[in-house]
Amino acid sequence: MTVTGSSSEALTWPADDYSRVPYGVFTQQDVFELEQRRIFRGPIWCYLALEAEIPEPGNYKTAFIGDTPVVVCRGQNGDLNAFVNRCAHRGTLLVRDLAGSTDDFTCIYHHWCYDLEGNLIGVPFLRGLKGKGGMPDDFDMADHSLQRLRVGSYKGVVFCSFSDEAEPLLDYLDAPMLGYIDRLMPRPIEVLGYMRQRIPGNWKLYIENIKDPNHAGLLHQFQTTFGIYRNTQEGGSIFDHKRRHEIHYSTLGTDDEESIAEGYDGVSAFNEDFTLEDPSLIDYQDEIGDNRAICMMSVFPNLMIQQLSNSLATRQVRPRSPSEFELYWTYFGFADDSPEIRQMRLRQINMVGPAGLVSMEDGEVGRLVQLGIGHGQPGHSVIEMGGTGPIENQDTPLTEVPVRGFWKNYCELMDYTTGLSNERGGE
Amino acid sequence: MTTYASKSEELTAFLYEYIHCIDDDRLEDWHEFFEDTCVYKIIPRENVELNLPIALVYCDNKGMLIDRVVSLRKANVYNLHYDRHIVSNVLVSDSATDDSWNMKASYIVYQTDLEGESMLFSTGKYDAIVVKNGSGHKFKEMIVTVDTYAVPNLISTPL
Repeated sequence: MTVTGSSSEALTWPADDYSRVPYGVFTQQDVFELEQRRIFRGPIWCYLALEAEIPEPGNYKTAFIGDTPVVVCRGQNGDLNAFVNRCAHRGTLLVRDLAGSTDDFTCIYHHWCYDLEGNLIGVPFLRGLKGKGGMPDDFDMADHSLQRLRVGSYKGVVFCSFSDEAEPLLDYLDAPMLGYIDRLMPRPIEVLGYMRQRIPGNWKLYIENIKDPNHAGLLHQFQTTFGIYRNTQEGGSIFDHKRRHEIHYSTLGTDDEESIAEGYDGVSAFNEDFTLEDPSLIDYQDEIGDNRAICMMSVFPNLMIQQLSNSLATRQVRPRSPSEFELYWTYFGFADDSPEIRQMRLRQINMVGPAGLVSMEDGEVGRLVQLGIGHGQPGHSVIEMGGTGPIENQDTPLTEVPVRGFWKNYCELMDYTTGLSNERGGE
Repeated sequence: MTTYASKSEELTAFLYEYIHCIDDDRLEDWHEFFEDTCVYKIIPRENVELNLPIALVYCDNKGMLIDRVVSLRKANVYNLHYDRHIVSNVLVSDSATDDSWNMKASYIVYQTDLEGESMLFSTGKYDAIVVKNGSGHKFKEMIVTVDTYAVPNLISTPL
């Protein structure tokens, strides 16, 4: 399908293997609106929250799925409930604070009241007063619940879906991702805090960034310099069967002076003169026992789970417009953390987040790409690192094949077809 | 030598020197405002309200401050800009110990890009512990609580 809007360029996908992406997909308002329907409210699951944030009955938290405000809460029976944060009466934002605990939700406007399952349980002056006013006799509160979402949880990671057509959550996540969540969440977690980052770029630029292991060893020179992550280390990418999710990892101590010298020969990303006054910042405790100091998991469409050394977080992508999104980071540790490992987690935030010595470049890259393409001009990006053709597991960080896995699934949901031109290279 | 009518005036001048150091891009001198063992923290107000410990920047010694600046100069890629701090509502109070004072202030920081366009980057407050050090003062602790915790893209230079 070719999408044409009043102010939009037609989008073309000239390569069947998704190695060409039209720039317009990052800039057009009609694409953004279609994404809300077909991706975020489509037949898939989106990351919502962590169960550790709402441990007790009555606990609630607000979030955004795409640009739709939602609420997740724990019902009196302990079940998880989620609904669109919108009063069923006149559309008012129902829950105004970020999180809390309550017995019910009451809209500030006309005091319509909902229980923790989203059922309408109270309407003031429902039958009027002294025979005057009120709702009509045939008004049935049962017809005016909040818009409920499907909710599922795996190891305390909570997902929701707007669609009855989404497959069961565990099938959606698929075995490699479930195994990775098992690896990272072996015991009860404790939320340590939040970060928010408003990146002035399209949300999909960030998805591309996180699924691109090759950039990490070039752009982020703090970590190449100290060997936290280098493209010369052993690493790889693992997919689910649909290639929509991906894990990539890097293993410490698997490169040496020779491979570093060869790989980074003449590359400005490696700065040997740079030493730390306090090298304890980059201390790493191998909690899991596989020496994988970096493991990044992306779950289509809006979740990343970060393990950078001992710094653990979920990142929720919250699109705000074609040219801006919020990255919402939820940091966690384990409830039984020793004081030493807890302190390591608190110090390692210096490397991650919007002020992170490793990660601040990702915000700048999102901004710069949007600046480079945001003029409505035609063109395509080129995604060939790691090879073209089939999208298969990778045993090297020198690849951007996972990015094509994202676009394959994106196009299927958006109903974009490829191959309008058999020539690579676009315009 | 400048004489001050009050301790408050003296410490306010110390804070002004601190922000001018940043705004003048003399970041290599920034750590000189701190004790060797110190805390410099930038924390989202959201986390403070929830009593959660995660900060955006957390340095617990002067070496980490030096490392951050060296990293900015040598390794990091970030938006090229000028900073402009405006500091106001300074309150100085005695602490439990002699030669140590609590200082709080409100701040706003505008960033101006290389095209000359300015934007409000951050607003929040400083909570500092200032100690006497020789003839001058140093920060024992500088906690920056950020109201603008939806960080506009990224934080590179100090607040």
